Amino acid sequence: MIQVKNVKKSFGKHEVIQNMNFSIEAGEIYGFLGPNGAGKTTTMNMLTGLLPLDAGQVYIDGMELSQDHEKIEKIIGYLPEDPQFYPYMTGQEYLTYIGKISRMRAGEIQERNNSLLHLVDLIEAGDRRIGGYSRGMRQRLGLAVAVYNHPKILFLDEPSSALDPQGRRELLDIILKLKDDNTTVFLSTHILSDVERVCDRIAILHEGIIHLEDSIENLQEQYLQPIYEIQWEGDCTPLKEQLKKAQWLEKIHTDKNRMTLYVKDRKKSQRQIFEAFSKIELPMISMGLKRSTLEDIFVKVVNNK
Amino acid sequence: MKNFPAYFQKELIENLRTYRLFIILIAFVIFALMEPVIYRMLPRILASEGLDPEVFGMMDTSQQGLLRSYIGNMIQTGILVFTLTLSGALAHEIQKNYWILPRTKGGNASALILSKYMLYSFGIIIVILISFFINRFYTGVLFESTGLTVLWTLQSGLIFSLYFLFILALLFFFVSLTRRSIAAAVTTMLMSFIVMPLLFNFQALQRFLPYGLVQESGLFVINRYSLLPLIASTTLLIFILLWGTIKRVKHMKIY
Repeated sequence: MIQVKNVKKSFGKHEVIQNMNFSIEAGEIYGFLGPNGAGKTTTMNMLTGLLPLDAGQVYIDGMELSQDHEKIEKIIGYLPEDPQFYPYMTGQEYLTYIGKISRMRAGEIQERNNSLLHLVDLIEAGDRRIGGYSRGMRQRLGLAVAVYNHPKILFLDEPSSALDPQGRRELLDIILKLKDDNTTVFLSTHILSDVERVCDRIAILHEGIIHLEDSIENLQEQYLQPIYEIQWEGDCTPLKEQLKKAQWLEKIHTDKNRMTLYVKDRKKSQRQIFEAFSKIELPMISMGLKRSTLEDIFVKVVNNK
Repeated sequence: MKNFPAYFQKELIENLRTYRLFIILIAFVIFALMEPVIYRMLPRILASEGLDPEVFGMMDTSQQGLLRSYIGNMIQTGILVFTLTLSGALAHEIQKNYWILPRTKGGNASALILSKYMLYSFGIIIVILISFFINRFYTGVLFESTGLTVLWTLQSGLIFSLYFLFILALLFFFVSLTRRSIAAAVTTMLMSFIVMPLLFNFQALQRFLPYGLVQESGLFVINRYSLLPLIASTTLLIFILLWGTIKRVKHMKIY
């Protein structure tokens, strides 16, 4: 659905995007992560045709961006990080304006306005001037504008940054609903828990270069730490001596009824670990493998570069 | 340009809510009314200051004379009000990124700029004609009618309006260069108050410089030989400035 080939962009002497390549399949939710100034918004602006590329090609739904820009505009939606609206217009009027620019018929516009205001929970505020909206309300109106033309591809730049937890959850539900309708979503956000919840694949951008691109499952598997956290029913300190001699063990920590095991090779030693545990008489309450969060992975990738 | 009607309708709402044209209308009408009133009171003012009221007799208090005096005032005060009030019309679109969302839905710079230009052009023509007729009427009431016909007032107003259309195109062009409303307004005023009158001193430029329209509008005589080149050159300049503005805005960097 989206193919980015050797894209470069500079502002003056500063190379913001250096030879960027990636592709996104139809119906996929693609998380685009990176620290501030990594080039995320510049990438968004280029993919939506708001900024010209210095080099490279972008193909959207098989069409080349610079050649078929007008056709592409009809199938994409874009929500910028801080969407700006005419403060003197009401939400309804603004959506009508967008409908007219998108060359929709009057009846269709009214119907679409109502369904979208309902979707983003602005039905009551629809007749109020946007100048009096909160940042979160403007963000939701921005989302309504972005999806106005039933886009095949939706570009969302930090869509939940201004929303409260309830608003964020609703936004993520909307994104998941769009995925069900086979909409491709290109999502840039700092809120990594949002990415973990909705994205199929992610890319981590740092200083204009994509350093990592994979599915969340693969990344978590790849970055999984060989650490087991176990909780016992009683004091587990005496077990320390019993397990210390095991060949698969690298390090052991105990604290009353809590135990942390650092193992040498998680996959190879898994069987041996359970065998060792079966010989212990003290009942076990829980056992879990410590998983790397996306935040751990993000920090690791950004700091290692 | 297919979405020009959507943009034009948006401009209409903007004007109704921001009162830009209304502010300009009020300013122009107040000055149009004040001109004959001040002239009427001038003998008393001169007497109270101990000056010879006979000096007043040397002043032209005909309808033509007072309208000419009004034109002279509006070329400064009018342009000041006009540029300061309208400088935000395009600058805010660019500066505050209002134009981004519509642009992602198929909106374009040409329709945005031309709809603004057309609305404000139409507005300023109406404002100038209203103020000219008010000035003519009120001068006739306070002094005596000196035969300034409706046709002459209309012609004079239209010629004067064309100069304002040029100022508007100049203002938009400077907005596209500076992205800042105040910077564009100040540059436009400098062009109008200093550069234009200076250039007008050159005989070779007088026939083509838009500033000549100001002089023509106060003549109340149609001189095709001097007027037509002025209208042609001003129209051409307006087209060039608007084309330059559209080109600049189309290729403007978005941050």
